[in-house]
Amino acid sequence: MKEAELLARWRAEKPLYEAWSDFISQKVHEGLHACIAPVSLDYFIKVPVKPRLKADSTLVDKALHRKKYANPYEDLTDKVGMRFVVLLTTDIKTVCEVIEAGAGQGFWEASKDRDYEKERLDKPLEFSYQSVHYVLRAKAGLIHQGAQIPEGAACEVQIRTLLQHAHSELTHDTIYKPKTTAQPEVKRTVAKSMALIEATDEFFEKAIKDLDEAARPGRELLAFLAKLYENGTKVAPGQELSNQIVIDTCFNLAPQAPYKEIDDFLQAKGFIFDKIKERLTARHFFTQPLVLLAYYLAQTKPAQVKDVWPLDRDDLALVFSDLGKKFED
Amino acid sequence: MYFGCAISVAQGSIKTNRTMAFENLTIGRIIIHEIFRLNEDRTMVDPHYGNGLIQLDAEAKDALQKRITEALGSSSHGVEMSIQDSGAQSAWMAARNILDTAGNNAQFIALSQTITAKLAASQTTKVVPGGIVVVIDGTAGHPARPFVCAIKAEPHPGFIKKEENGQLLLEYLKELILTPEAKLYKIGAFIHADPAQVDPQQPTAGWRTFLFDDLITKGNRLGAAHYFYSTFLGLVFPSNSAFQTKEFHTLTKTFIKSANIDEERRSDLLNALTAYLKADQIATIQVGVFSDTYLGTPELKDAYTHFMEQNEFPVQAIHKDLSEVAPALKKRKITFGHNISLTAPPEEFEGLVRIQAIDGDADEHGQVPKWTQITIRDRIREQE
Repeated sequence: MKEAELLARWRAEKPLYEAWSDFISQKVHEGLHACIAPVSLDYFIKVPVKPRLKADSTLVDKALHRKKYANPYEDLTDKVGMRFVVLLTTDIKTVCEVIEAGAGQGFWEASKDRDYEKERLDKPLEFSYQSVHYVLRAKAGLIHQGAQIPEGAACEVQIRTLLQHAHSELTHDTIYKPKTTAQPEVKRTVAKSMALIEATDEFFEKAIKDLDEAARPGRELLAFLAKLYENGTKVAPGQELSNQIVIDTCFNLAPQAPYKEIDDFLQAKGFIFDKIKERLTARHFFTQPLVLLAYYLAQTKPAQVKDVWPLDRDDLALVFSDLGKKFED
Repeated sequence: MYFGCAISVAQGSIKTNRTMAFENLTIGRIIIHEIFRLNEDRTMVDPHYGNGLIQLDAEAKDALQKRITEALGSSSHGVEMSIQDSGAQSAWMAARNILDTAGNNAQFIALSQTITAKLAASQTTKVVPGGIVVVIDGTAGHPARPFVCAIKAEPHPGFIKKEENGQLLLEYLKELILTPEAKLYKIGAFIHADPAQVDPQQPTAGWRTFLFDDLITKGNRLGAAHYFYSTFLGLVFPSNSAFQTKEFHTLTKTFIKSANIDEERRSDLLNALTAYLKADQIATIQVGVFSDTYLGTPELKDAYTHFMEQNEFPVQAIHKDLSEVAPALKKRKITFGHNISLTAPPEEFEGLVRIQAIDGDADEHGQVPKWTQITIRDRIREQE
């Protein structure tokens, strides 16, 4: 294939590839959003995803000079690509699942081009670049933003942890793509970094798992309160951080699962939900499920909840008042 | 874990206590009027009557609700009273009639003026200041019951912060009312708690009434409070005050005796109970006050409050009447095994007797028993 021919086709099809990559980005974001709730996408994705088209000269360089492709245009799988950078190796798995699910929905064919877990097993003594690469090829009949996506159009999706990303940023264009080979000591240093990164990613994973385990009873209590709140007020319970803060400080005062005492209390004092509904528009505190725990503790352990209360006391005072109790000392 | 004695009659963890009179308080209509101090020649100045209902936004209503529950709610200094005057001109009758004015604001306003006029007429000495009279109707309790209250709020000066062109300024206000400063308001409240009770001989059957007046918590100021609770509201202290005071003593003693605390602390608390009841300067007894003053840890406070509620002791204040409890306050007694006991007058006990738990000599199995060391700051006067 001639250079001019390749470039002409690429320039003509760029808008289609742009639409294709935008389609992928959108679908993966949507899939993740549903998967990770209530965690937000902004938190989960550590580096904003920006689909990128290959520059004309790089395309020519790679397709015609560096590689020996049978079909240079089709075989070049990273004419367009994007990268998902996440915190943990389990987060990588989540992104992979969403991509595989997209294949199941008939958007694309997904093939794993690089899989660092497999590479680790294949080359157990080597510590080098680690990332998951997918090549997604469009299924027939996709239309996005008015563009008809060519069947089989390829897009490369990279998925890695923040630490893997840091390593890649360091080595990009310096170790693997220089004209002259890097010194052995430099390679060794970079390999040591990768070994450290692999170990650290594992520690991160363990730390998160342990934290998660420790937070489980509190999370279950909060889920219980959220359900009660929704049933009682017919309003979706808020999910702000203040819930967690109250659970953390008041957990020892709350009853044990299955929290029947809280349920019984709210059944007996049905008016509490009316009071909450009256205040929804004016007071944020009453939009959060923790308010139910506040009422329960104000009734059963008033001195203790006053002693440890971590949020605004004005709101707690109103909870006491609704229960007909003096609050100020 | 702090108590486990047989007096507890708990059926479940929460029960709808008949004493929770001010939960679920909902403020309905509000109106204000103004009354004045007597003229120099002791003639009355006519009240200045408001003619329209006051509209408050949600935040202001919440604040007003808090003023009422702080004054009359559980753990407050509010006292449940008995209605003595139920005649045609009584405050209770005006409150009762307000219940029939739902949907008729003109009648509500007229009755609130009647109440205000009665308060103005009750202020028969020049020492009594004027103030704003707030009359409120609404509901209280669960299930919700009709409620009417009259607040006398004395204006006092203060400042508010203002911001103009980025500058912070202070503005002086001569007449603030209903700030959290409790000395400056009094409340009388009537609740039709049990509408099912109908007794032609006793028209106030089914009604409960509550009073908050800072003056009545102080024994030496009781006379100064008389015009409000008696002349104006037509209330008397409940006839069971002496019984309730004794009950407070018995229950609190039971709690202290079974509490999970060390013996020295138990001894201190028993001393404190006597001191609290005998203190001259207070005229009311209140679970929350005893708890906050002496019990120390939030856990012990909650256990005590819970214990008293379970035993249906009033959650508000009660009028102190020592006539029935006096014999029990005459002697402090500590009993040991083997028929050994120590008795002392309570007022001497705290200063002159010190008891401490100490480790005794180990027995043949190495078990260390608990012994008691008693220090009496005096010599032996006589032995039998």
